[in-house]
Order: sequence, then structure tokens, then C-alpha cells
Amino acid sequence: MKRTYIVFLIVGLLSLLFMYAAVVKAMDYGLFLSDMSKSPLLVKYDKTLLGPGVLGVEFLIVALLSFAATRKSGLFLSFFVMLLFTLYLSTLYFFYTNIPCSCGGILGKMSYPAHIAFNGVFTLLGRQGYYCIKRTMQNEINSSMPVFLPR
Amino acid sequence: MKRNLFILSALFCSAFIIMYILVRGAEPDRIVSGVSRQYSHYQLETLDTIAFPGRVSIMRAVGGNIYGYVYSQKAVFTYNTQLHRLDTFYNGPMPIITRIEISPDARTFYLFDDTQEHITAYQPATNKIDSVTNDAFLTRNGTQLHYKDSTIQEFTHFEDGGLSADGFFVNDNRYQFYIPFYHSGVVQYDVVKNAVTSFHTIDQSPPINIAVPQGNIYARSPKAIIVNSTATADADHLYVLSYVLSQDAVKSGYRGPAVDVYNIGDTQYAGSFRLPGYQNKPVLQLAKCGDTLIAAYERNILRFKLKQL
Repeated sequence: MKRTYIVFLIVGLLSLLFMYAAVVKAMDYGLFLSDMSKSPLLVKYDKTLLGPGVLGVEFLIVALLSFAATRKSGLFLSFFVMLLFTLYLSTLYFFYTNIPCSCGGILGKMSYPAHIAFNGVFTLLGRQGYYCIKRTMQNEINSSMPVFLPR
Repeated sequence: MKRNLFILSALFCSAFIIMYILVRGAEPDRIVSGVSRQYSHYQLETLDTIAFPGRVSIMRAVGGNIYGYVYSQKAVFTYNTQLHRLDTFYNGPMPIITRIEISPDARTFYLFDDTQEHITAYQPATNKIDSVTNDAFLTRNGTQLHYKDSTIQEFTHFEDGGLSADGFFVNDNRYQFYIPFYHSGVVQYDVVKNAVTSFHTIDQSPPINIAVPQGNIYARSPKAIIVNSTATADADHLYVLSYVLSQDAVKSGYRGPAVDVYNIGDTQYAGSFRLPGYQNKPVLQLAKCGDTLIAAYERNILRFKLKQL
């Protein structure tokens, strides 16, 4: 029961984060593309494909987390995407001078160390959420199985 | 359980592989800007090439003469563009010259030493050399920009001994400019109105700490990337040699610098042009004289006719 609440909390937080990040980016799409094009790591890549790709993945995660049947995949994907964002920001912060952050809203206003720590926490939440949901599902399967007692 | 651990490990490895691919394709030594430069407003036409007797580290041009300081010769040389003659202009008792300014009537040359506090005023007509105090030019002390005795601008302070605010001066008599090497914030000082204007070059690179402490001194960190390397001005425009990679350069694969032109009146971007390569040498200095743009490539100086289209 307690685990169900934890999963609910983690899924809620991740959905909120990805929805907020995607909406803020979509609302100022030009700025989002402009910030992305300043990144020394993304110089070679077409931002007109990358931009919709990032937004699409963020909305997809929210959609996957919304349904019980796809929640596990949503947690998997959110763990992977948050891990990528954390590695991306850390690489820019520690090794490059030009560190544009394409995150809008409150996220874009965070200092880089705070932003990296924030992303790290959400990466761990994604992983933890996956383990919790897995155990919850296993418990549900175990409790629904008929028990045969010897006479 | 094992399957889940395997999937999470695979995701972890994939994230690292993606980052590795991104880092492999990155441009670590350049600042990338989201803007595209406009090359349709200016056209360059090469006029001639002049060989100086060493690497020209400071260059000025006035009234058909080009003045170039060659540190290895400890002398300032002058080249007359009408007579096509190179002469020694000044080789007086100064261990190093770090800056040359010319009075509006072009009769007095102000030669700054490495401290920028001792200034030698040289009058070539009379061959007179004086030691003077600076009461006509901008100077920088750490993160502060001074004119005479007053502070006209304070740059972002970092614990770096002022390295992040390093830059160079451009003087157009009416206006004096301070252009930082490592960020986009240009300071324009109107000498007549005693007014300071700040504006950003098209890259909008913010100031960052580019120094690392090494014992009692500060050294430039590997993150110190040059944004603006040299500049010149005429009555209407400021010409800044920028190493920022714009989106057009990213797409075309061009990796050289570009000269970005800004209107002095409204500080707006007016266009860009590229300088041709010469013996694979970098452009060290720029000067403008009439419609002629002069670029110092190590020990060779190239003159171009600059047309505004």
C-alpha cells in the first residue's frame, strides 16, 4: 500500500516535470531552438529535427506515465531521458565555456550545479519509481494467485 | 530482477554512448551562436600586401600611413601607402609597447608600456619624446574601466584577478571602445558627451570566470575561449573580428573568423564579411583608413578596399 503511494508520488512529480518542461519549451519555441543551436555539443545536428524530437519525447513520457498499462515504460524512458539531460548538462558545465541551457521557465533560471543536482534527483526518482512499480506488480500477481493448502 | 538490472544497465550505457557521440562531434574551442551572419552588405577587394620585418602586434593607420609595432625589433615601423615605403618610425627607450594611440591631429603618438600607466608621447615632426600622464584615453584596472580619474564601467567580478575582463581598446577620437576578449559586452564611451553605452555583439556571450588559481597567480583555464580578438573603427562603424561560430558557418563548414560590423550611432549590427586566408596565418590586428581596411597577418599586412553594398 505504502509502495503504491510512493509510485503515485514519483509518477506525479515526473509527469509534472516533463509536462512543465515541454510546455515552457513549446511556448517559446524560437528561444528553445536558438538556445539549442548555441550548444557546442549539438553543432553538427539539425535543430529543426532535434527540437520537435525533444518535445515529442517529453510529451510521450507524460502520456506513458498517465496510463497504468504503460507506466513502467514511462518510468524507464524518464530515467533514460533524465540521465541523458544530467550527463549533457554536466559535460557542458565541467568541460565547456559556452553552456546554454535550453530549459525554459524556472528550470532555466537555476544555477548549473543546482540544475545538475535537480536532474540527478529526478533520474534517481525515475529509477526508484521503476523498482517500486515492479515490486507492486509482483505483489499484486502473488496475492491474486490461488493458494493450495494440503488437506 | 536480473532482466530489469540488465535493461537499466543497457539504458545507462546507451546514455553514455550518446554523450560520447555528442562530445566527439562537438566544437570545444569555439563559442557557437544561434544567429546567422549577413554577408550581403559588404564586399572586400584585395589591394596589396606589405611585408613588415616581424610579427605586427599593434597596428594603427592614419592619413595614408600604416604604423606597426614589431616586438622582436622593439620598434614601430611605418609604411606609406602612396610612396610604398617602409621606415622605422620609433625605436626609443621603451622595453615594450602594449598600446598605441594617435591624437586627432595625428601629430602626437601615445605609446603605452606594459603597466599602461607610463605613457610616452612622441611627436615625429619634431622628434620630441615626453613622458605624459593619461588624461585622454580609457584605461582598465582589474574589472574597472577608467576615464581620467573616474570609473565609467564595472565588469562582472570573478575571483580571477580581472582576467575575465581582459580586452582591448579601439579609439575613434569621438568614441572610445573597450572590447572584451571573452564575452560580448562592448563598452562605448562618447568623449564629447561624457556618456557610456554598453551593447552586446551578436553572439551575446555572457561573462564567465575563465581563470584558475595557480599558487599566488591566476592562469587562464582551458575554458577560456576567445570571442573577439581585435577590432577597429571609423566615424560610423565598429569592425570586430569575431571567432564566434554562427549558424551559417556551422552549416557551410567554414571555421575561420568573421568581421562583424556595428553602427556606432545606434549600436545595431550592420552586417559581416570574411577576411581571406593568407599563408594560414591568423589576423592579429585590424585598422581602417578611409575606405581601406588593413589586416595584419603575423608579419604581412594586407590592404583591402571595403565596399558597402
